[in-house]
Amino acid sequence: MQLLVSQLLNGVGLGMIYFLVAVGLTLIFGVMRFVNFAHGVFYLLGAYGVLTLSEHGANFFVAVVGSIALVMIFALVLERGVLSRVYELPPFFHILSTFGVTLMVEEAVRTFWTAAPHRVPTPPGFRGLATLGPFFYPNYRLVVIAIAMVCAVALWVFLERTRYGATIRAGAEHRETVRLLGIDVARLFSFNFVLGAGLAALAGALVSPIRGVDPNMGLEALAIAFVVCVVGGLGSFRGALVAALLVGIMQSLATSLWGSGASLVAYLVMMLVLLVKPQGLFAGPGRSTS
Amino acid sequence: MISQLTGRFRTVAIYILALCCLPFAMPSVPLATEIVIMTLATLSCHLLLAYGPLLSFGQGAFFGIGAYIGGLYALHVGSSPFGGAGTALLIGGAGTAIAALAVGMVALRRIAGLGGHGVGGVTFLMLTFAVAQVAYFAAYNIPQVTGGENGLLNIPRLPVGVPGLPGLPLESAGAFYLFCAVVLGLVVLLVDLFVNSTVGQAFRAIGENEQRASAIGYNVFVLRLALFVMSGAIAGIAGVLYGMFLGLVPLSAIDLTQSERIVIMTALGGTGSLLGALLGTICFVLGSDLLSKIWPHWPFALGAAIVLVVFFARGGVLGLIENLLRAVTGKPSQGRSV
Amino acid sequence: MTRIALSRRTLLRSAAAVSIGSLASPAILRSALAAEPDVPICGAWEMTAPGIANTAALCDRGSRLAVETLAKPLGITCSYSTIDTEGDPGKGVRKVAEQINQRGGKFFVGGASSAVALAVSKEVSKSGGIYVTTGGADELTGTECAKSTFRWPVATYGAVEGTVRPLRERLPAAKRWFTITPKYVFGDALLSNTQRVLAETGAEHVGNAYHGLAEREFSGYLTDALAAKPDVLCLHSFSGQTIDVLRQAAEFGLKDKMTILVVWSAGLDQYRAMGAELLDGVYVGAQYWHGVDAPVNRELVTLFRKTFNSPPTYSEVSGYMLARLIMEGAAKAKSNDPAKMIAAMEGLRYEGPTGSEEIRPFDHQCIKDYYLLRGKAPKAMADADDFLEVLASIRAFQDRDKAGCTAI
Repeated sequence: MQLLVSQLLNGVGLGMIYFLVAVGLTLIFGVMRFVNFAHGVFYLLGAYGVLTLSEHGANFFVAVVGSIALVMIFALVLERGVLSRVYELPPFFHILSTFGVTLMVEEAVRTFWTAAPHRVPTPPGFRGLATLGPFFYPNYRLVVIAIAMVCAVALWVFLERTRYGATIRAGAEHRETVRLLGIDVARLFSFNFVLGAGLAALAGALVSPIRGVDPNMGLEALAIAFVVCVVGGLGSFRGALVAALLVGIMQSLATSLWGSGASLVAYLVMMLVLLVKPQGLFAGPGRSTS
Repeated sequence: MISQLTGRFRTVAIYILALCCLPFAMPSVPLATEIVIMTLATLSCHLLLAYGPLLSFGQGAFFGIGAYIGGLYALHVGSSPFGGAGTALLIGGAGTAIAALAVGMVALRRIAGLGGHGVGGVTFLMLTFAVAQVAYFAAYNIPQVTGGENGLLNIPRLPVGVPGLPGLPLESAGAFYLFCAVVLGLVVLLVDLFVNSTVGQAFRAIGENEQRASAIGYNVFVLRLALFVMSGAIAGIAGVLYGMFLGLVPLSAIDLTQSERIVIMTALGGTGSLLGALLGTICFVLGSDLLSKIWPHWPFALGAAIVLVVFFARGGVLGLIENLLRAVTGKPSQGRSV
Repeated sequence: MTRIALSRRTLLRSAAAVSIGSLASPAILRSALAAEPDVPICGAWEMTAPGIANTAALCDRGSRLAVETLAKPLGITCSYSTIDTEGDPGKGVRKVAEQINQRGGKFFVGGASSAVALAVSKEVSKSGGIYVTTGGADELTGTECAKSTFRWPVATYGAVEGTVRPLRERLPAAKRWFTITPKYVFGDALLSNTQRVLAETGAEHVGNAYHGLAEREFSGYLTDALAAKPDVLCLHSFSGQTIDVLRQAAEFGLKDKMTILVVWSAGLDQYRAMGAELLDGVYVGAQYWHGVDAPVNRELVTLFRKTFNSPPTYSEVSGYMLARLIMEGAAKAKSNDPAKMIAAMEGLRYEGPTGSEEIRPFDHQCIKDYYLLRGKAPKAMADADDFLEVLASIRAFQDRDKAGCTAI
């Protein structure tokens, strides 16, 4: 029973992290029709930001906030300076340009921090195990799940209950109309992009004590993010949440049943879903298909 | 009529010329051979992108599958009367084509291309990405067949010839280069014929406006599937050559980086004409070889080059060369698609 | 320049060279004595491979240091160059082939990546050179052995015999063992050896969890381990994954519930990344430890501290030893002809970092010790690098009929 509970918690934790990375990507695609192959870079930099700031003595949570802020600034500069010029081009060039950016950033990381993996110590006070009767689970992982859930709720509230959130949702469904309504689309795009980057950075920052920090983590995050987005339906918040949890839980359960194949589970889930619903689980009615 | 013919086969002629010069222009014959083999792989991705228009992140999987099939054939059947480099190519290519058929049946259903600003192309991209991961996973999980992370070792370089007669040995670097060059030349010729045929024109129609092409009566799914299978087979043939070239098939032949590399070479070269595949491959293989000697952080320059291509040289190196030629000769420009 | 006394033999040789040289003019002498063999060594290392680039860089610098410091005392001229294999066996093979064909390269060291090591081993054996490798795959001196290939580190058989067996002897009551193994050929080799030793020592293998190559998230496997209630958690993971498994194991409280053994570790750089608190009480197997009290090791540690301000890591020492073996071969054969050097290297006995070492003639495997160490409590550490204490030092290799090498 402990095994099942642990695996479910692992799955939920994993899923929430996947959600944080994927939701930004799905909103970026939904609103801007922009395929952001550089999304993993924000996750990567979020983790390295925490590493550097805590090495300079900052408290862990301060380092997390600081790192997110820095990544968001970087994302803004990237979007305004480089990527906004690529929007009108066919998607192939979105992929290519963001891929190029990824290569540059990853190599820069390897240059300044070396290719060796680094560790970020778990924040003191959150080490150790939480116990509830016969069950136990690491404190810090529970904190990660809690923070991710709070963010998910906050994001939902923002999208569903605020005007700006409504604009974003409208943009995801009918971009041209939004433009015709006189809304500053460029600002909308920038905001959306930076928001997505910040969420990915948060995910990277939060997982850094769990999995360590290394230059390859960006690609891993990107791969999962794309799987989650495609399974959930590109552009859908709900889809990202459900798909992320589905993939996370399936992956966790797989470690007990098919250990060596656990990392493949995400792709198998994706292929299965796409066979039945090629647009993803939650593709909206107003979505154009070509 | 002659001028029409030479104009018609201009691309093929340039390829043949380049292949003749390559071993002398490159620092070493093995490097030239590697370029030829990778050009085949790049060509497979180029075809899909130029005519699909589909971006596949999974060509590395087909490259690897071809390499393993060819390697296993050479190891187990090679010395029999039916053994031979040519047969290895056919079997490797056919095996990979079957794999591509299976993947394509799933991946191309109800998928729109990258031409429009739609979801379909991205889904196809993700599916091929997933195929690349699955292929890699499969390769290292059946070490009894593939050698796992140690690779498939001791692959003999089979002679090429007709069954029954003694074949020409390919042991020397020069002979093997010639063999690869001939294979590439033949493939380019076949592809060129295909591209300029009525089938090729059908793809142009799909590329311009998919819905309209479908309305006219083209079966988009079947056409794309055929293209995907052809592409897969070409990548598989490149893989067979790779295994013979190295004498082994490393796991890296089928990993994600292989697919990535193929996409980069396709993008660098440009998709305006088949020459793009050759140019992109030369740039990447030669460039990374030279750069890696002088700067350990050369992937940074590669990333920058790709971004620059997007901004200033969307037609890739081919586009740059064409612009240059146009500027020099003063000829008017021709419209070029992605 | 630091003078290193490596052994009585080399001391005598350098003394003789000094005394003879002082008697006669160099020009006449050089024609009277045989010319010093020239041994240019090429290091084929994974300098830009993601994941092992830092290991390869350490190995490379170890090899370079050996070439710089040992040539004179051994009476040979030696130079060193580096090729970047990029971690790709295909690239590695091509670049090594170019070195052989265009620059007459004959002497190679390398192999931070086993896959590259196997490929390069095949390429070098085609041309009849010498390749000394630090690759971990058993096959290098096993089923894929070659006359031109030599290997310094111990294979999986020795690693498991050097850790699992002594631990069984130290903790006879700890009979329930759970293993976590990466699904690699290498991981499986470790696993089968462990299963054999456990069976031979009357222990119970209560379960194994396989994990994938690029796995970072081990909570699932650790939960499985917990559920099996073992006495010992035996980790077959290697390189970057070892750190992640161990750290997550500590997070899930496994250190308090069971003994943990890391069969294959990467050395001081890895221990630094883990940290003393994590290593405390954990049993670790290693090819080399700078704290071992052997004469050559003490010299080596002094040299490295002087040159790099740090005691040597295993990677550096293995790079050093690879180059040293070639140089010793040339010195003993008084020639740079690969065939003569290979004959000289077979059966070569010398003082190495783990004590007396020798190269076994039938498979070119170096016979040396493998260590079982245990993490010290942070308070008990003498300095920032004093992570481990040595518990056992064991030499174990398979016999000729089991080793699988038939090509030499």
